[in-house]
Amino acid sequence: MSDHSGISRRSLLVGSGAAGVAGASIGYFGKKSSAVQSMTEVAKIGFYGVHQSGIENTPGLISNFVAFDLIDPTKANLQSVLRLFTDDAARLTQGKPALADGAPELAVNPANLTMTLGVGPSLFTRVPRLPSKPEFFNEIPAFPNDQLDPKWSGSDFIIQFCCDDSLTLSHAVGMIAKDLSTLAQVRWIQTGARSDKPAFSGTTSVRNLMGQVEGSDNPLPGNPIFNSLVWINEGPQWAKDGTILILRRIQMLMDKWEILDRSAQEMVIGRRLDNGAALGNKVENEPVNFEATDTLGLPLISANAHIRLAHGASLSERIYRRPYNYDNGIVDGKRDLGLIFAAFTSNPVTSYLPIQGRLAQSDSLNKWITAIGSSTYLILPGCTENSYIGETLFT
Amino acid sequence: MSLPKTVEITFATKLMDIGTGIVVLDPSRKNIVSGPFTVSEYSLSAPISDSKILGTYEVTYRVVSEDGHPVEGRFNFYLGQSSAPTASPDRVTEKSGRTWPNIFLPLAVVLALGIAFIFRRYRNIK
Repeated sequence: MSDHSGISRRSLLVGSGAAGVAGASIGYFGKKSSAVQSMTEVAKIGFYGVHQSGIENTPGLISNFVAFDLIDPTKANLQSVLRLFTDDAARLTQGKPALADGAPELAVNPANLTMTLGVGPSLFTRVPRLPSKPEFFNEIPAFPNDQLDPKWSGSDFIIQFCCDDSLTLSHAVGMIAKDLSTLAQVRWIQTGARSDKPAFSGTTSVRNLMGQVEGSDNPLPGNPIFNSLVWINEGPQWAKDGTILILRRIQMLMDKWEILDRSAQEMVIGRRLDNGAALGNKVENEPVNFEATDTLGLPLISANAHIRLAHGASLSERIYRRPYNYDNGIVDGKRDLGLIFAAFTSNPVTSYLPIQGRLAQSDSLNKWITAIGSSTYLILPGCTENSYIGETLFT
Repeated sequence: MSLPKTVEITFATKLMDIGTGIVVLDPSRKNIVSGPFTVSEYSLSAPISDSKILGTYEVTYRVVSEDGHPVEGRFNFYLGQSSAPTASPDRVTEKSGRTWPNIFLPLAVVLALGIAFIFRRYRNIK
């Protein structure tokens, strides 16, 4: 390990020392026990592809959303960031140490690590001579009731890390922060977690910290509807096959929520808590009948129920949700927890904005949740082994 | 002889606008609620369309009190005279969750006042 230290990460990537040290890395790896190797073989997710990983695949159990700002916002620096990121991510996600990795043992278990990079709208005003961004890609405006804190909002770019192992995750974040340290500084980090069990048997949805089933009626990764809802297919060519991430930090006011009767909690959402079925339905993903009434003739899903307002007015008005829970413990005597709402869409103007517009205005859930952070990023297209993430910005 | 323009129900406890619903059936069993309901601090009100049909009108509602308990109820009033033998103006049926004893008694009393209020308005208009 000592022969890795003291070598500049950047000089390795671009300089002549790369081959020798990469060789040393491989040599080191050859000594691993077979048990460890079989572990690394099963739990990894490919890095290269048309799209970046970390969106279609099953979310890792824990996540870090790490927001960066360029220190000196030049095109060359951005390009260096993207090259360094690509090289690190291509290795770390496959259970290989990064170049000049100071702790290569921490990289050997990829644990389904994904690293996904997106650029913020601010980048296009701060960095000269970048191609123009899609017109549908802008900072999401604050909605009524939002109490947005700059410490959770916006940055030049973001890296979403998802993983099943905290050691691996910590190492990957630390490695990237170190490698980018001369080019970019971390503005904020949001750490999240998901349950390792589905909300109930037979679903891919999980529970949030209010106990609600998260993920009902989500578009299914890989199918044509998902592809058109999520992957960008209009606007400038460089963004094609990317997607737009809406990232909101939503604080839950648990003390007030917990006084509600269970049936009242279900009315707020319009779904049952146990199996996520819409009120009036038997199972989670049945089409919702918004006209259903109870035996007294009253609507089962009220006018301001969350699912009624979140329901798209058209087929294109849908988003792919991939959220994480956060729990920051007790702050100033109050529980500080909520949802890192992460959603992906090919066009927020025709999907997220109308949905959230309705929710912000009338959703009965608003009494128990407050958005305290809001950001949006364009997740760049994927790349091949011979290129790097974001290369399309420079061609 | 005509109906009031709104039905308003007043409760003993403050309300939250969760799961709220109100249906007002005329004697032909047609829902005559004509627009969005309003939940204010203690009351639920809904506009109703004018109906000339004489007979019993049935009001069914669901509200959630500020302490988080849903309550459903039903009562009747009539225009001209009752067309339903079992209907009486102060008859209230409650269907609520596990906590109804906590809320039912005070609510029922005030609800009756609410109905009286409706009737007073109705008589005033008449």
